[in-house]
Amino acid sequence: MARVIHYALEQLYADQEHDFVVDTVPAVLAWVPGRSRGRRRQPFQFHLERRKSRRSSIERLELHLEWDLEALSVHDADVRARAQRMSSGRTAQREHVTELAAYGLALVVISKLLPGHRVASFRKGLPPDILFDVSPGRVRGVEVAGRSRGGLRALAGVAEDKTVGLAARDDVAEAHLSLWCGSPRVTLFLKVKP
Amino acid sequence: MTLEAHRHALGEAGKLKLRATAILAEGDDLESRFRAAVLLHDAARAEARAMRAVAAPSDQERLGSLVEQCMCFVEGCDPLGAARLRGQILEYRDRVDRTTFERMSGRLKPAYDQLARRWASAIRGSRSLLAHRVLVPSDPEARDAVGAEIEGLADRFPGTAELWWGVHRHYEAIGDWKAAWEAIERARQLQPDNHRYLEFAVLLAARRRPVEEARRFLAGTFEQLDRLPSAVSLFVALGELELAGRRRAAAHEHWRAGLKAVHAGLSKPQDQEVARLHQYLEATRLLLVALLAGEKPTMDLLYQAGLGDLVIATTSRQKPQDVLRAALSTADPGQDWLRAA
Repeated sequence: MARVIHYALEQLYADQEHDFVVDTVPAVLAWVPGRSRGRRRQPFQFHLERRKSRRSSIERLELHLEWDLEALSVHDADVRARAQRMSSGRTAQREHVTELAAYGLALVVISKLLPGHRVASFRKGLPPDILFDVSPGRVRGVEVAGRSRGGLRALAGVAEDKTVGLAARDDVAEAHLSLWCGSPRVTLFLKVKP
Repeated sequence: MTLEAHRHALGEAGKLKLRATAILAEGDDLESRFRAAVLLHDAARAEARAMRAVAAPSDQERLGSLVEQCMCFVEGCDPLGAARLRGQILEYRDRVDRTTFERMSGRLKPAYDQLARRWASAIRGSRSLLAHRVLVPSDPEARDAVGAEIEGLADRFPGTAELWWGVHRHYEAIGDWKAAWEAIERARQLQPDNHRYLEFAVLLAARRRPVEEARRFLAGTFEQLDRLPSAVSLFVALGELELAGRRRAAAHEHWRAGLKAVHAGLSKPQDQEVARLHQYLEATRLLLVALLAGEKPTMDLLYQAGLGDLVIATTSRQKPQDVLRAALSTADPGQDWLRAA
């Protein structure tokens, strides 16, 4: 029986800096439930596979994610409308929604599985995407990706590609991967360096 | 500069990038894409500031910062800005080992290449622009065709300040001052450090914005003259001359403000490269002194300032301020891309 981790999304505002949270939460609300009505019941359950180091074995967990819109609205009064705009966006917008949702979900696992780690910056061009230590020449962070479909198999392929690049870079002292699939709801959280 | 400044600037850059992505996720209309582009340009500047805070950064660290800045321009729909940074990035091909270079620029390259292809295709499709290679052809039909093409390009690449400058020039040429002002303000939001855009915004405000707004704009710019190149002082002075024409009862107030701006410009160290600018400042000073003394300025002041070459082709009806304004209004800053296209 996999251990269950519960997380209330509004807790992110306590675990991470407001400005790193407020733009990702509407995307999580828009992306996680998906378009099928039957998949919209809380808590949203993700099968989570975690590896604490490159040599350790995979630990299987269940992430049960839920949220209270009223509680989220305290931090962002427009959260409901923003999530709605993101849900109804066109194809070009949906890519950004997936990207942001994966960032938000990565913030959840960082907060839950790497307690005490506070996000310091985000990157667009140079992995890893999320940095919790920006020390020049020895950054530490989490590389993130989101996929709509494909499950663990698709995520494993992404992990393979991303691991090689991160492991070989001198300027990266510590790196994790946080990969998410919307359907089925599965996620990988893998330490790839050191 | 400290590690704390580095950390702070990167934090700011990260928040700006997230905000921009959220705007793009919420809407893909021009306004959303432009707002996101502005934030991504701000993020690129914050990244550059973070790198300047690092004492003796390694080549790898510098490369990393340039890659991040370039990606901000790519996602901020600014092919010209991205291309300038791409050039700087390529300088590091031989400074770090080949594998490191490829791994660090691996995500950027396909995104950059895609943007560059889109840009090349859009330029090739802008037939009037390519036929004339100027932003404002003298023939009205050609002018309208070029204006429509530049506006279309600005819609597709809303993070490109040079295109908004072109849109500004088009609307200025057809006398749509509101649209001209909005366009130059967009250029300034994308490149707030580009003093050429500020200079022309000062003149446009002084001539065409509501008087109170224009006064505030010139006064706000005057407050910053210590930190700005001398050329901006010149344009503030010319702007005050324009305002004096619009508010004749307060003309002396504006001439005095103009003279203060000229003195601010002249007090900065000059070198050979800005000798011409010095001549323009001196001419403006002589002009304002004459006006304040109740004299009618003549073309002689342009000769006195060393600008005789401007006078020799003028008509007897022109005033020295008209000659100065015309001479300073012809340059299109940062439009080399068009001549080279």
